[in-house]
Amino acid sequence: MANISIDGRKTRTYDAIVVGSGISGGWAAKELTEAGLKTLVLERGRDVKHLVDYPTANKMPFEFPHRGEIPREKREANPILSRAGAWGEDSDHFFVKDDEHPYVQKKPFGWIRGYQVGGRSLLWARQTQRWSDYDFEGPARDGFAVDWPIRYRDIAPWYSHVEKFAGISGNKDGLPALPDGEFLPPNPLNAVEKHFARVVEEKFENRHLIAARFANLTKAGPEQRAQGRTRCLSRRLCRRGCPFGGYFSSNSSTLPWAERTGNLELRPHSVVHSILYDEKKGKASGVRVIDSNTKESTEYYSRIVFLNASALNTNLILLNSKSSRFPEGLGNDNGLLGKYIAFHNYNTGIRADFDGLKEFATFGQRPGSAYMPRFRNLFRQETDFLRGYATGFAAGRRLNRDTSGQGEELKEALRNPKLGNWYVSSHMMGETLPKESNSVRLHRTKTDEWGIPLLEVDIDYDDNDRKMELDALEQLSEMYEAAGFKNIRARHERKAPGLDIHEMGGVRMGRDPKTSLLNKWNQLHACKNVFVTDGACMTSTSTQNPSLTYMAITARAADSAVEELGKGNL
Amino acid sequence: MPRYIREAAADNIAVGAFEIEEREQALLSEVVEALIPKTDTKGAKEIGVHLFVLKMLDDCHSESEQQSFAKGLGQLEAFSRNRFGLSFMESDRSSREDVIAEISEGREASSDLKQFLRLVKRRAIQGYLESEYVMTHVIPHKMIPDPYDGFYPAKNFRS
Repeated sequence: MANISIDGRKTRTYDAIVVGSGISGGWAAKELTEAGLKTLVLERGRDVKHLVDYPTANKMPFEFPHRGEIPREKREANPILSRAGAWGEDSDHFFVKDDEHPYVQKKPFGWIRGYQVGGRSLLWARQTQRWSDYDFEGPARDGFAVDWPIRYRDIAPWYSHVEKFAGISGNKDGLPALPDGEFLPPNPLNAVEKHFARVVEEKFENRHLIAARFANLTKAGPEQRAQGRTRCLSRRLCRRGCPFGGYFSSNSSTLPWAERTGNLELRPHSVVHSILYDEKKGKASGVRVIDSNTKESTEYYSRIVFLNASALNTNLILLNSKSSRFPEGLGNDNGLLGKYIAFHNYNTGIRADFDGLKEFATFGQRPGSAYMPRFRNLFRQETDFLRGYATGFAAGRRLNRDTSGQGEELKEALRNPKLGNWYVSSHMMGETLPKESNSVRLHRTKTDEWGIPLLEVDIDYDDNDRKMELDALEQLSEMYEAAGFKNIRARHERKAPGLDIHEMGGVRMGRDPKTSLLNKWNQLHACKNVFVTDGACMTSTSTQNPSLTYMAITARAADSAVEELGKGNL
Repeated sequence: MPRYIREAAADNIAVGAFEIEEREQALLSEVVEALIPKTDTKGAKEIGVHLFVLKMLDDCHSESEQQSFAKGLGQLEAFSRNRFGLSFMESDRSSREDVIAEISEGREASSDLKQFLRLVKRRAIQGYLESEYVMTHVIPHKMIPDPYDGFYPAKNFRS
């Protein structure tokens, strides 16, 4: 092993190590460095510096040789990635190719990854809805998974903390299912979205259509201006990286902020092999890193470790962190590590046309859309399946180009699109129930190019999901009919789990070390100086886009870690 | 000039399993020009839309699509002569439009020829609308869009 001198060890010792620089790792870095901890952030991919490393951000459509399309050979070489909607010629450089980090699919699972500084925070859909106690109390009320060790009141101030800094747009809607937050001005809804909102409000009990809350700056507040970020200009090219910092990413926000403290060291090309466990002290002493270029192995040491490698990679690292105290993976005394994985179900979608409100059209662009918080089984159990779904909704007016002709007629038609009908479209975002059988484990023989076992992924839908999909279809159709939408077309497909890119769990939080891996401060029950605050920590998934909750959980856990360090408890 | 045109022009344009001859490339340029002709603004040929069609055919379409494109392109002149007495190259502008209409709407054209035309038309429209010329001179593309108005009066709509 390289660098084993004592001096070398000193230079490789920090107060804190954060594994991963994505949306939650960025928050861990910010909070820990601001508290004065010398912090090493390890990122397995390359560096992506804000503004500097967004090579496509200002390209015009005609500057892409294939106008945004991924060429055939590349698509065929990447059957997994080719199912990711945001993968295009303009964002290709931010996605992991299938052969770069293989995994074993026991059942079809689309693992979509972004290995670079900033991770998938560069690529996310930017919807940021808070959880309420109808979400946190779900498992206990409905008898699945285990009870969350926290409630809304525990996390509410941390939602506020991260919202103020990240910059979240939204209305104060006053809905029990979706608590209000610290909002910048909301994204506007259009005529048909407002019409649908009115119909839903009037004809359906406890259903509400609101402006989705988004991490795009409808206005840059003082907190964002201090980060050098400006208003979102609605380019809708977020996935290229934003030259204005118009949406929240680690790159535009938390990482540069952490860097300014002077306490951050960022090491790209660092694949974390495992967490080192000190048997004498009974706690983690650091991590083993493999340089992705040289394949050289180096150890880094710290008083605390934050695992923010993304849900499945966090599971992988813990499973691979074997010691005589933890032969089945760090903290895995109960054998539940890697189990109770869940995700979000997007299988039902629906589209329709609308003949009304023709006096209105839309002009310009916006980064947002509409959102209907979960209404099913919210206050009480009312169906033969558990839990429910949130719904995304958007309306727009088509621009029609009649391309049937040729010659001057065609050319004229191309240059003069006509206003078509309004169209509307929705998709469900369903809660799936964490189950022991939905799990990941280390492959027994296959390893990757860094000598780390491949992850074997064994995750599937169940009957509850199927029933929910059909209910979504029925309920959405009913609401569409009530709103006068015509030509309703349903999409009911069986997407592989994972393509939602909301994979969660495997290292769940809970009250009891016998049935969970993490306590309410996100510490491993059995190794208190290791914190897991990415998607892996999620006890259940509810229906909201999860990133905001990861951010808040991370900031909360970092605050507690600093306090515990101060008390000498870690 | 967009980058692809320079590359394609320099490259002798290898199209999948076959190489396109200069003569065929010239024919294709007249097909796209017949679809989107020069008027007070440039037509498809001058913009190089045929080279874009070839680029996309080469990089984005399947081998079977490439094959039927090649077959359809090869049949075009004979089809034109048989139906209208003159080859496509020999025909004037309005006769060329008739040939195209006959291929897409008539029953005589082979499925390869129909498929060829569908592919060319789809990619030519894309290549035209997304060309540097059109996006800067004809329908200027705004990298910074206008602020959103969700209740914009439809009567104010201008294409």
